[in-house]
Amino acid sequence: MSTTKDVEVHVEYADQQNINKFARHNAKLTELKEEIETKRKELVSLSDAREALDELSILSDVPTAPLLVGETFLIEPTESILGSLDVRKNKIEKEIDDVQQRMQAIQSVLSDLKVKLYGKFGKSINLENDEE
Amino acid sequence: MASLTTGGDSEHLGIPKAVFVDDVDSFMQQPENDSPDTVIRRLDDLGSKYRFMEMNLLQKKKRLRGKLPDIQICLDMIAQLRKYRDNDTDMKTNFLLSHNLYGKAIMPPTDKVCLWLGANVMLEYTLDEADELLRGNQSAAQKTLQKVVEDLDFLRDQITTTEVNMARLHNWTVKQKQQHNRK
Repeated sequence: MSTTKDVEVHVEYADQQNINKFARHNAKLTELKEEIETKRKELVSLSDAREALDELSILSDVPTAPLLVGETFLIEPTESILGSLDVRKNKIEKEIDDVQQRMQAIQSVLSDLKVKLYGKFGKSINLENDEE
Repeated sequence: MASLTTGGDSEHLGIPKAVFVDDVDSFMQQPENDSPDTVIRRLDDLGSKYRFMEMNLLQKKKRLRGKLPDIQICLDMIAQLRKYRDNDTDMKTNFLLSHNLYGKAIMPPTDKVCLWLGANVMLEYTLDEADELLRGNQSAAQKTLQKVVEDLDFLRDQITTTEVNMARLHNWTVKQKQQHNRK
């Protein structure tokens, strides 16, 4: 983030606090974006696993399938695997919701600060992320 | 460095707090700030020190975050073992022998599990005890992680303050030179 002081505008302590707050929340937002991305991937792979299992039970009459827990496969009856998958799915969906809520809260803080800081410093401050 | 930071903050690993420069003019009047160049260099030095600390903390954070899923997997596995114990059924597994190589095993129901404690020590626990121990580790790791995140937030504030100070001092210098040239 680059900040250039307008010659006319005096940076007060409160402004510095706001700038700090902005930088802090901005960094947190980037972090949460990454977090939600990995969680979404996990959700997709869980849904895939469910589908594959459904297909498997239609195509052939297999009573059990191996389920990966950590580094070990457990040979389990398909119904119980479906149960475990659903438990995992619900958990991760809840986590995604949670992260999304946190992101929204941060975003509103950020836009609030943007209004304040741009209002005071105008073009002499840049609060945009480079990649966006 | 006395003019750029105030003493360490005991709450945040003793990280020195960057001083906010309210008025550049009077800041430059202070006896130790003789020329803008040296002050900018000192601010730059301070910035690199902060960045070094940030790097260390980020590494610590990464390590802790890697540890948490491992603990969770152990907890999941214990839950599975418990299920087999309660149902009194054999547990059929393919377990990891080496990467991409799995062995087959059938385990009778058990109430015991061995935890790797580190330092070449493994100890046998009952499932409940192992669960309790792992949950303890988990919450301890979460607590440490929380602390590291707070320290990082604090550190980031100091970095931003220092950067803003540098930018303003730079602008102040430019303005000074312009005034000088006009005369």
